[in-house]
Amino acid sequence: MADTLRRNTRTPVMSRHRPEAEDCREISGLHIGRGLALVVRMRRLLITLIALILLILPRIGSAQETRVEEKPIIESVEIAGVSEGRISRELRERMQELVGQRFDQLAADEVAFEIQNRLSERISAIRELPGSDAQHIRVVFEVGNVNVDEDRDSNINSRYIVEDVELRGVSESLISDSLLAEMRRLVGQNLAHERAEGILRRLRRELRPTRLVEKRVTRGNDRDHVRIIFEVERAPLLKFQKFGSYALYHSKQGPSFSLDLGFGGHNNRFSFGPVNDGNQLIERDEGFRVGFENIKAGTEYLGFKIDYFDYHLKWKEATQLALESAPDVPGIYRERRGIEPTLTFTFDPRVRFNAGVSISELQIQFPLIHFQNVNAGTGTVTYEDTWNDAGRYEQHVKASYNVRAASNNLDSDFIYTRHFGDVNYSANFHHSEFVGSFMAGTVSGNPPLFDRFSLGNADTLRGWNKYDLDPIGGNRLLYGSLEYRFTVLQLFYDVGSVWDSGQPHKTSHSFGFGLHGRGDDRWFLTFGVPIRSGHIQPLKPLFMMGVRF
Amino acid sequence: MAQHLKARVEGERLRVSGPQVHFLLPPAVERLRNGTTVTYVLQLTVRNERLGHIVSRITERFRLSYDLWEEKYAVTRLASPTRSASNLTTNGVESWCLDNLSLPIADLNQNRQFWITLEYETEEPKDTSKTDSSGLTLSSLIDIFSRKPRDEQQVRGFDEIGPVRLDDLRKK
Repeated sequence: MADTLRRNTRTPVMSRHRPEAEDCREISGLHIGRGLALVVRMRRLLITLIALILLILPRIGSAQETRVEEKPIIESVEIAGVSEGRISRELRERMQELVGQRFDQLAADEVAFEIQNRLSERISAIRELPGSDAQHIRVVFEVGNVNVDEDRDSNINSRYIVEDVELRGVSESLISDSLLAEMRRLVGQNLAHERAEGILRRLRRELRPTRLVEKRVTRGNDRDHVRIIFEVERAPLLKFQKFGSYALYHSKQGPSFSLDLGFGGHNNRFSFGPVNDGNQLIERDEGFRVGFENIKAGTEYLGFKIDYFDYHLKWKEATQLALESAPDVPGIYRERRGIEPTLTFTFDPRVRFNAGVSISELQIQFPLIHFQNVNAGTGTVTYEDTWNDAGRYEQHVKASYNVRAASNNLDSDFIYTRHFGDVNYSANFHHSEFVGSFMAGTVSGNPPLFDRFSLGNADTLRGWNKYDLDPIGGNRLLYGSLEYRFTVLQLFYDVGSVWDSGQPHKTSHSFGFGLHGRGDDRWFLTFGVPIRSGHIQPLKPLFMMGVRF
Repeated sequence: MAQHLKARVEGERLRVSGPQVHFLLPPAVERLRNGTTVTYVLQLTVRNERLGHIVSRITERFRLSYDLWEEKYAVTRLASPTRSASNLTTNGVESWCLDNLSLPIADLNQNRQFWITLEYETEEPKDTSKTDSSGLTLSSLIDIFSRKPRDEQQVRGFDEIGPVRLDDLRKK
């Protein structure tokens, strides 16, 4: 065993690099001295190396940062769009002066100017085309309208041949025959960017709203060939239902705001935010809202949401006075807090069903401070859709119906059933837009003030103050609005009525004008004029402005 | 804020450059590498103060595409006469666009200080309203306000330099 070990350790390689222990001991003194000298020399070398690196590295870095790519050298200069005979010898020589020089914009402009002067024709393009290598270019001055091919000019890949058109993520049976034929016609042709974009738009129209389509162009298998890939994926069925953030001002009702501060991931969203709103209801709510929403509860068809709110209420004097003469209407309350868990279901991105409960507690002010419950089952169905035609026009419709039913079974102190429906339609064409909306509602039973209807705020019967129309609201509602918009300018006419069943009701009208943000109305600035008893009262317009974000 | 933009006077025109000014950014780069054409709007503005009134302004549109086989960029300046170049690297295409954006210095006071701002943004495919370089007009205001909310895919940004004097830029 020992022999074997010795033999193994005396292999020529080992003996050269690692002397045996006995040898080391014999020459240890000498080795230590040499070793120390070596270490000192190595240390100096190491320090020098580090110093060099420290000196050179920043220079390399700064050189990289400030390096400007050198202009390419002009290999040849040509004129396109004129016959050879029209190019004089002097002009040819002037052009040749550029050859061999690095490309200079000013020098090229000067030559272009001379070409224009001598030929009395406009230069339509100055092209820098690839030369024989990366450092060289060819310069072509195009005179007149030479081979103007917008598609080819706009995308360099238009010079490549389409090898294949692929549709991924969806069966071809869902696509119309004419569109499939159009896709196949691209094969074997030069890549036509606009045609491919047109097919993408048609695919989106045919597969909407359940699928999303994107286009990619990749290299083909053969050199100078490309493949067009249309990738289709399922559109998400549910979207988050946000509170929405806004800040607005109504000249009679004061400012209102709501913030929706949310965060979360792909399927979950947590939101919270302060509220001070005197716009939506008869009451002014001051407090906060907190919510959590999931849009994929095990399946993409199902989601859930849970909201909590806590408001301190403020009331207008007009409301309090009107309540004194309306003993059937429940009185004011100072606090309102509640929780609203909701399940959301859909089978199509255009339609959404919500079902849940709303459990609220009111701190009633009179005759003695006490608490009452408003517990209701809720249900909503919403339909929303958009049509557009290649960006030429767009139509959008949103309709919803909501029911709230508060009953003894839910331990509610208020027993009532509230139905509310609304439809909003808009159509825009270029800079013009037409908007129409309609609302209707009815409540049977005895609802608290927050579930009574009112009109006359920054969104409805613009021009009227809801406290002048009906300071305690009503249990019946009918409302319509027509609006014409040209870019940011708007003209509108609103008509509506709020009343209590069995009571006479009168219809109120208003019209106005203003400015607004396009698309999703992110901002607005509106003057509304009420029409009283058939007479316009232009001296009493109401002013409203706001932002939604 | 560090000033990455550099200005110079060449002939009778004010030009800018900046090896560290990068506007070719995701997600525009991803769209280009997917074979799509992307149009950039570049605007050069001279103001008498940093946030002062506009002394001079030029807007140019550049249409970019990415050669899938050569892995290089091609660009066309959409003005008459059009200019185009191909086989450019990322830095090359950015500096080409800046080279093709210049302002006449005739409008600028020789001795007064001014600020130069370079603004850039990608244009939405159907938005062709940004071709006006004549400053703020009623029609441009309508266009600005009537523009729909911006796409999340849009790239926008700016860089600036100042205060500078024309004489100092000439010396450079």
